[in-house]
Amino acid sequence: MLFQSAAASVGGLSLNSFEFLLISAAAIIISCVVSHQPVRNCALLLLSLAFFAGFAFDPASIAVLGCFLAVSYWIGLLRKQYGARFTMELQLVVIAGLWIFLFLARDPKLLGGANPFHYLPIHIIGISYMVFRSISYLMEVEFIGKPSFLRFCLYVMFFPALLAGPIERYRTFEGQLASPVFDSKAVMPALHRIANGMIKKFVLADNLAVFGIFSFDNAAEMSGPMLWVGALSQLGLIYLDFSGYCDIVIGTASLMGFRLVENFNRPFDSTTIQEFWNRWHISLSTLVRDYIFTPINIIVIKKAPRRIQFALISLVYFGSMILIGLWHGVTWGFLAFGTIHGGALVASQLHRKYVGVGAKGPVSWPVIYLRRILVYAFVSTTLILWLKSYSEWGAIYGKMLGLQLWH
Amino acid sequence: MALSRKDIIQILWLVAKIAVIVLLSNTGHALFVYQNF
Repeated sequence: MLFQSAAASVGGLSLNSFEFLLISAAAIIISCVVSHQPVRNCALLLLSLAFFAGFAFDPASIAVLGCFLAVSYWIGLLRKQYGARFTMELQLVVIAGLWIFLFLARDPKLLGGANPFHYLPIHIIGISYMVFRSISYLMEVEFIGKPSFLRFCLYVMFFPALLAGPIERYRTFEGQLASPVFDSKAVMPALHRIANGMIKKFVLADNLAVFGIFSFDNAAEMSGPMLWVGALSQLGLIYLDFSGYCDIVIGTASLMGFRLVENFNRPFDSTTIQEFWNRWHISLSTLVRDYIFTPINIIVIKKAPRRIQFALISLVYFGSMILIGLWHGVTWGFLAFGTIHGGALVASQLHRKYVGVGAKGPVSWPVIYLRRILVYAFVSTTLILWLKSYSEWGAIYGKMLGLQLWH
Repeated sequence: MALSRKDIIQILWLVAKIAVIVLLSNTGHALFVYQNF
């Protein structure tokens, strides 16, 4: 099930569990007390492994995770050794390889017998985020000092951000590993942030999510207006859940002396779909922009004829959104979500190019609010593609539009 | 180190939040974040 709790399905540790509290307390004490960096890093890695083991502890998953870390680190060493000879095209090939590994490892049914994980199903919690952190490491390894397998593993598996980010850049993280910043004035704001996050996630989002109207459990029996209420609630619910989770993670890391990147910047203030994706899950969208979108665009600008550059760049925009969709899972729902949002981004680019921005002077506040509402409604209603299987889309959207398409 | 009035309000406010979390948390229905991402 797409939105089933993995914590429930694999017996994992919740961020409000006693185990997480214990691991966090140990990590905070170690970060504050142990000044010898390798010992501190080693202890933090062990705590991260303990947290990881709370989700899955089968030998196959551990072996695959070990191989993934070793191979990623080895590619990093090659990149460091060969420097400029590790071309942009080669970078993209490595990134593509890591994505293919992610798709195959996360979904053993994908490609059937051609998928090696079909015969050896594994469960590595947070694997999508680990792959992205590895990509960040590989992109930045050229600019760091002496590589360290210990620091690399700790970066990839840092327990507060293991489950769902935020995805810190390697160089930023390594700098903080060297000298965590402890500020007594930051303790109370960090505790409040953790408490706010827990209220958002465990009190509001999780309690609201049990109502069928919000989870579409009985979509066939729901009336059109109730489907609209459910559809328009999705984005708010996910925001409460995901931003609450990020608040807990960022607050916990802050108590350990780490300043993690923010993942949200008032996303509901967005007046265009492009702006929304610049304000929502920022650490993911900026990584895709910097490591995939920009390198491909540079190749396009250098090698493609000028007259087709805009079309190609729009295509890259479109493809990037599809990739972000599929990064969440190789399903028709994520593919459709990425395709629709990719199309919306291309439409936004075309509007910018041919109509212009602000050509008719400043925009009045009712128009701004109307645009915000439309962006919210667009994103929220398209989240049905994530929630329900493709066989139900026509019926749900049809009923919302007053058409009776239930069989 | 003496606590200022602002510090005491902050602590009480935090305690109130913790009480809300303990009393109203739903630990059995985490729907969104803990997917196998």
